[in-house]
Amino acid sequence: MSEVFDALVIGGGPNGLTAAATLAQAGIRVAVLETEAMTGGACANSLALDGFAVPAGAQTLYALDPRVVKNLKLVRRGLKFAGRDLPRIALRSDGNPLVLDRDPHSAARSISAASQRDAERFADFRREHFAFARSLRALWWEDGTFGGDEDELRRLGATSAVAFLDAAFESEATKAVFAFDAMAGGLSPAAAGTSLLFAWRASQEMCGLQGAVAIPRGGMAALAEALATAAGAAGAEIRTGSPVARLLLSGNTVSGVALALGEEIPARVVLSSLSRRETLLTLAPTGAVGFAAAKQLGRAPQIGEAKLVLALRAVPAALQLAGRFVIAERLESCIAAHAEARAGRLPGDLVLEAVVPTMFDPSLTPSGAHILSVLVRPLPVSPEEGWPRLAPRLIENMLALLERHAPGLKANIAGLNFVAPKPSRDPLTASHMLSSWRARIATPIAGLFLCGEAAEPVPALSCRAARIAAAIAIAHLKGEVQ
Amino acid sequence: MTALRATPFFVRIAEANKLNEWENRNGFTLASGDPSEALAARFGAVLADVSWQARASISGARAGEFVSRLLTRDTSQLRPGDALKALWLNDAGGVRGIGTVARLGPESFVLISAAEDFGWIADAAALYGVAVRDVTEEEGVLALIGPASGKVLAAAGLEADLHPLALRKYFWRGLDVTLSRLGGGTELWCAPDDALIVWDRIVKAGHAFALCPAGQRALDILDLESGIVQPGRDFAPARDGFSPDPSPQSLGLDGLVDRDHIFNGRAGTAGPGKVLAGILFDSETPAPHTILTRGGLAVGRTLGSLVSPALRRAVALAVVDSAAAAPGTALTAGNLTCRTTALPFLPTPAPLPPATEDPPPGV
Repeated sequence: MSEVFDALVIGGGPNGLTAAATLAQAGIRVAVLETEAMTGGACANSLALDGFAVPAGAQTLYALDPRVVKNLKLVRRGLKFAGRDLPRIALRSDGNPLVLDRDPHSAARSISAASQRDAERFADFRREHFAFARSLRALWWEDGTFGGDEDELRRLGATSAVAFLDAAFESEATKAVFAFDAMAGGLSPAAAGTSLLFAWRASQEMCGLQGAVAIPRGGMAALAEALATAAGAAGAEIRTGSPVARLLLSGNTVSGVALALGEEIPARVVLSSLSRRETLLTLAPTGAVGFAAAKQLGRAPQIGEAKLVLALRAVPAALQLAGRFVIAERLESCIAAHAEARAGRLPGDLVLEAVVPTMFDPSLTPSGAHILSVLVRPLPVSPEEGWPRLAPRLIENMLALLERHAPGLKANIAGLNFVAPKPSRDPLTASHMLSSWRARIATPIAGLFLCGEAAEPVPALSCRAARIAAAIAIAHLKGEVQ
Repeated sequence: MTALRATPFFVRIAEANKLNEWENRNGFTLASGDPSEALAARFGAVLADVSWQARASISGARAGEFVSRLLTRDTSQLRPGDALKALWLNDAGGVRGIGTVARLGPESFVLISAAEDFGWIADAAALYGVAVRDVTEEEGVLALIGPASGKVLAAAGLEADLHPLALRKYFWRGLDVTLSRLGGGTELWCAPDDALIVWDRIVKAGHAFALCPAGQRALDILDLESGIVQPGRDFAPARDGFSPDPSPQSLGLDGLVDRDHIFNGRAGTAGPGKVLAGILFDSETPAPHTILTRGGLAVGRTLGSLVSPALRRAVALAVVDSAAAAPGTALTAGNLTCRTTALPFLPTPAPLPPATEDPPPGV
């Protein structure tokens, strides 16, 4: 090893690549250490499906940091969008889908079938909600302090998603549209502070549109490729097939990493895009994080989400609308479902979010096949009977549910693949959403920073934590006061 | 509510407890005794039951690594049979406990403390795959305190050639016992079933030296006179994993923190500290945690306080600013006047070395 690095980034997913590119742009000598043979992490096309491959992670983009897109010139490096503003489409068992798109009149018209009062209120609700969410960008977009309506923030911080929606709407159909978003991070929609999930989501911006959902051209892998190009162009070294075995410490300060193959790479700062648990319990030496913190981190998440991808020969009529589909009957039943999942059982009511990316970008598959990508919540992370035995039952339930809402689906399935809930994720808490970026990024070990989903207020593909973590790491390298 | 437990010496303690005053220490029922017994410890020797002190056995392949991370002083150089006194802190640097750790073997330690903290220690040890066991009830421990204690042990057939902070196993006329010098006197550890035999042998051997049983009050007095800070009596230990209070500095316990050592909660222990000092009162004892002032300005606060029969006055431990730590500084505690003095108030009543049968030169 002749090369010397100032900084090392663990994990070559979108977050790790963003952190490395940002560091390299600032003139820091940085290397990305990726376990797999290719970069991209959960965005890489790693899941085999009927002769092609799809990513195992996120299926839409709704929180990608516009500053990362701008700073790393991602548009110039090939990031284009096939779908820019996917409306929410709630599939109902009565056959009348609720379509909430950006045009308030058309959204109101759709809602009026369920409730006239909700239809009248919807435009006002969205305007007020979006305005407040914009004021939260100081807190959620930058390492800054919130300057907006403190009382409203305190109120939301103590309000559950269910109470928030109950106050806003009267009909079950309207509330159920938000059921999937209400269960981000594995929290119960009845838990205090979960209404912040809506505010967080509404504060995001895609393609210049607040609260939009987008699908990149070429799929999620295109985003990862653009980020890898940016990192490479800025001078970051990317090392694939280099799993990190442990962190090296001198006293309580990070001094490098040791690879699984034995090589030790010294560095003054290390950024980890892994979860807090993996970073501090698995990679750091025992006890380095502190005894109480280790005990806290030892609690594994109980609730997660799974992904089912289907290769379809043809898309059923019900799914031929351009949007993201939400299948949830009632918001209240989500609370019971969450409790069932918490007890380690498969919930009777499942909440699904489905997209057909090939409707926006047919080039994703060869020979005109379609992809149906479905996320399902809430699920037990470690069910009693184990995922290998539970997965077939879950898939069967999901297919039955999809078939009910989109008749003809089952007959057109050419292939399927399934990703069980990840046990490595950190459990989300409401206080985590409102803590400072520095509190989420810094660790008890000096020079070690988190730059992945663990440092985001809400787990999502955003790359914002990576950008801010890189800035904090640069300040640390320059010896600025922390 | 769990019933109070009896120590292995309970039967003898009950006979000796002439005042019939009892107290609860760590869930054990013990005789309170009379303060004058502390005086006896300064002139002859006393025998006290310290079986109630929480003892945690820490063992496993990584026990050395764990103990070193747990305690505020480096135990890696500790040899089997040696002990040291240290603190353990929570993540933020708040003092959870103060105790003595003795190394029994390469992979085995025992941690002795006046206040138990098994849950915390066991949770932390689990990270290292190290087993922590509460062994408090697996042995009876007697403390033999006073200048004559060495002679008593010698008369009983136990050669007490131990250094302070040492621990040795002995085979004593058919019994397996351990002798240690971890506190003020000499401790004698034995199996619970042997406890009464050990008690009787020591009492019989001590007859010629006016050995008398002492209660917990006397032990408290001797401790405080020696300037030893005890959890519960002198401070409320941190019970939360992330609360920085009380810090070692705020308790004047900086001396038990090794700055170069890497331990849990180290980041919270930076900064200048307060000084532990003794306070002599002209009148009665102050309430615990009374603010000490000088010229109207707060300069510290008292910890535990009691009346010392040897000094014949009320004394207190206190943490004060270093400016007020000079012996003789006049202070006010509420409406009481007092002054600072150096610690310890009195030297620990250590056993006289066996060799000095004659008075030492100059006496």
